[in-house]
Amino acid sequence: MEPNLKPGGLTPSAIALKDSLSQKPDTLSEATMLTPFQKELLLQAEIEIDEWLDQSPRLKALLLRMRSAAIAENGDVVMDEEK
Amino acid sequence: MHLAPIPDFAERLKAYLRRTPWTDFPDAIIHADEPVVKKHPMYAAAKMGNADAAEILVLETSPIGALDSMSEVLSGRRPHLLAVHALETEGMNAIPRVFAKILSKVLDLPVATGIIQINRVTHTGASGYYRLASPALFGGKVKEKEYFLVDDFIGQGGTLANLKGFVESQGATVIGDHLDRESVFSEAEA
Repeated sequence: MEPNLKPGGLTPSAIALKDSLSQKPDTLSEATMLTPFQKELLLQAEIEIDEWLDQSPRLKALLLRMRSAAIAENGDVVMDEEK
Repeated sequence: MHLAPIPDFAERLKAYLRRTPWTDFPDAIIHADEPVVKKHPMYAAAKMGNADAAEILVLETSPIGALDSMSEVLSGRRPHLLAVHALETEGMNAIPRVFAKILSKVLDLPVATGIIQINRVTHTGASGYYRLASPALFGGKVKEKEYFLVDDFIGQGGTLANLKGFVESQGATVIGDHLDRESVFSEAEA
């Protein structure tokens, strides 16, 4: 799977979901309930977002800052890498 | 557009809509005031599925101090964080999922997968009456025993009540909920 975001910050499934909205529904049922294809895309997008955030430099930087702050406050904190 | 007859619509809701008692359920934990979030330059893009924008929005509007309230509710428990993952008017709302994933990293909690909102409710800018008439419905596999709900907004609380009802009607427990922002009035955007 390709976890990288496409231009516009959307995952591949989020783009497909957006495209699926351009098809005009014929009934209220189609307008309100997701199609099986849209449900599948939504589930896939969940995984894509998670994988992308696992690699996010911003989030990694935040976690590092929090860990440093915790170490500064409690000198006996052992970093994961040292365990 | 041809509207479905009201009895059909009601039957459809009955098949999915579940509510469970609120016994001792803690107050929702709110991270930020609504104007702060809605005026953020990344907000609109995040609501339309931009995960990058959602990450910036959450990191810049959610004070770390608010996590203390969450730790208090958790009391050492390790529920799965369950985001309201939905397709909205202009695309997939990326904020709840990104928010849940960030919380999972910060608090070292697992994040749930496989449960999604199965309808589009177009609540953005809608009245309270419309929200009541078009509730968010949920589907998917309830695989965990304990959940903690995460969403980007709370108005009347109906969406979270329905998600809580969905998972609890299948044997799981919801121990709390966490929101990026709140609004007192239901007319506010969701």
